[in-house]
Amino acid sequence: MVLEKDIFKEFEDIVGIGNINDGEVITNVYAYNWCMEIFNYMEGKEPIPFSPIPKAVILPSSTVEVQQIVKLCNKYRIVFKAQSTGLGPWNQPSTDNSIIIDLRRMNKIVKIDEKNLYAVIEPYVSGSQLQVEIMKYGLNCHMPGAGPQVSPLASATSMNGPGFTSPSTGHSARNVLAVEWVLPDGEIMKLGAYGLKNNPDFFHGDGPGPSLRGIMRGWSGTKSGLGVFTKVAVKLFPYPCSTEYSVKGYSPNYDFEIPEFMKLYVMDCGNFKKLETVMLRVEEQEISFMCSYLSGFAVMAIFSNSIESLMDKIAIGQMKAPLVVIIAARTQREFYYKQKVMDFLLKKFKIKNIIGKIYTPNPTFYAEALRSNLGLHGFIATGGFQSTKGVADTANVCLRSTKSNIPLKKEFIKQGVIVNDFGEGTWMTSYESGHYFHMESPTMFDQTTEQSVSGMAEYMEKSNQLDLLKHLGAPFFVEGTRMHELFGPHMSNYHIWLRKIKETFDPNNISDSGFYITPQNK
Amino acid sequence: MVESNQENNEIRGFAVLINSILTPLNENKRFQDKFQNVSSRILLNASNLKYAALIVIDHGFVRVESILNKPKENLKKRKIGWNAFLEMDTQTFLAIAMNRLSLLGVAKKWLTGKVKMRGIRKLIILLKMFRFLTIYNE
Repeated sequence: MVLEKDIFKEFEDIVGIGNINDGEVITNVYAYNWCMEIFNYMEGKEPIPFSPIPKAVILPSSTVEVQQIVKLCNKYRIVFKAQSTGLGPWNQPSTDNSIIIDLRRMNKIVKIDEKNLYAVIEPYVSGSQLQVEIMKYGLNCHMPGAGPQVSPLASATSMNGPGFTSPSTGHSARNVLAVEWVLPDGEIMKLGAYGLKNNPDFFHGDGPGPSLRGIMRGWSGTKSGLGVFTKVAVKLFPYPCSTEYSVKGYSPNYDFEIPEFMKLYVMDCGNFKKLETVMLRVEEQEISFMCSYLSGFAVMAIFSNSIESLMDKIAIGQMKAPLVVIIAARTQREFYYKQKVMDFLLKKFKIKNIIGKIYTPNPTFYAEALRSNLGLHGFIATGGFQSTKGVADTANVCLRSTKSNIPLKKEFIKQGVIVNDFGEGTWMTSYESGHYFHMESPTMFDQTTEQSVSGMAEYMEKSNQLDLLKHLGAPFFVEGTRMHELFGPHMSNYHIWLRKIKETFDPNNISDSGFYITPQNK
Repeated sequence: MVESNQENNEIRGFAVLINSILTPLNENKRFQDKFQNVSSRILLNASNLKYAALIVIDHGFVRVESILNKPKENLKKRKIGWNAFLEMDTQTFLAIAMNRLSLLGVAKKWLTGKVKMRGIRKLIILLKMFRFLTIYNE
């Protein structure tokens, strides 16, 4: 399906020649995305890595152009799917009666307010771009586990957002301030202080009047199911250590000068009970830049860039409940204090730091940690990776979720459809110094074989069911009408309210609801 | 493709993995002291791969050689002169190496023929070597 010529022309008049394309090559390329095959299989479709092919791809350069595109979509009843940096199936249209709004021309850092600790960005600014600029002011930003290459705007407005630095930088939902939002009918909504009549600015996300941030994104975002976000203000944090960032060499064998006041601890807590106690105590002290529980296999992975280098770290993999902590400081005194606290805790809990004793990581690890770039290591074993779970709750619930998932995962390992990590593959991080926790279960599979893809999808389905059965909270991939209707009745019927929001804001269902919820009559 | 018949000392396949796990022991002073009187040849065969790993312990130093595991004649004691032999698939090997399989679990696999062992007393040396990998140099 392509756009009718006169409709194409109307879109082209908005963005200019060359900024819209309905050619077969471009539209087919945009139909591809990582892990699409899994979601296709789960929806009962052929497990191929392609979504429905969009009618066209359009590249606006301003909020006004986005608004005009959305209005035109409403006029001709064409569904739109907006994407920023475009990682994953959440960027894919759910129908072939759609266009993709690719926001890559909107790539400006609008403002950095170093005094009030926020930055205003457009959709195609990546985490690393933003970080580089704010480092000049000694500041840092939250980046999701997906990595520094993704859009902080997308994460803040439309996705989940746990990250490796979550102990010190929180969750994407907690970092979003004022927002410029093109609603599904084309109206522009300015949330928070940006909506003020006098001196509008981005410093606050709420008011005047009731907060709409819950409607805008809630916990996990609407994935372009409720309009297009064109500007967002995100919170900034003090950079954890010196901003000197000296890197030499070429990818992936960089050499990095480890900042003076930065130290890594990898400790085996032996069992989950002790892990929980240690993690809570470390976080209670508010000293960590990063504090994650990673399974033995996952710890091996974060230090590796190939299967060969993964396999030679078996001694690390022997750990049963490893805790990875990074402390970082701006001054000698701060660093000394943090080290002293860690030394005290290690002694108290009778645990040892293996770093520098049985393993010394390549300095690149520290660069990746500062760049929030550890997630990429999930891909090294097979090239295919996806997570299940995603609960945000207490440390105890997260660890219960981890434990209960092991026997299930082992069933699929036995079938040979997913990689053998002894069923333990987990990443768990604290949020905001241990106030709450995130847990997900990364799993490696082979994207190139149907057996592995279908096995992975079945495992994900069963993992979701397990969460319901054992009351382990909502996994973060509860998205789309089918899943909301499955989980909603178990969770205060939230899906009814979600649907009411969709019907109110988007009665024509023009903003693609594939990863959100459809109105009742659609 | 015809395999080269030239002598090639480069280790291959499974032996690379074993080599990268064990060679750090050559820098471990405590290991060298403890094993200064030990001399042994242990053959580890990964049944699902092409190459076996011959671990040579020579008075506190370790080196690993690779041996093509087909035909089976290649792995015979009289040909290689091993003191102990251990065969299993790589998954089982990883489970043992990463401490995810208990001795009872190994015994079960031995009884069902999934693990093959010869020279059990000498194999204990291997277990001791693995234990050294997690001992802190304090």
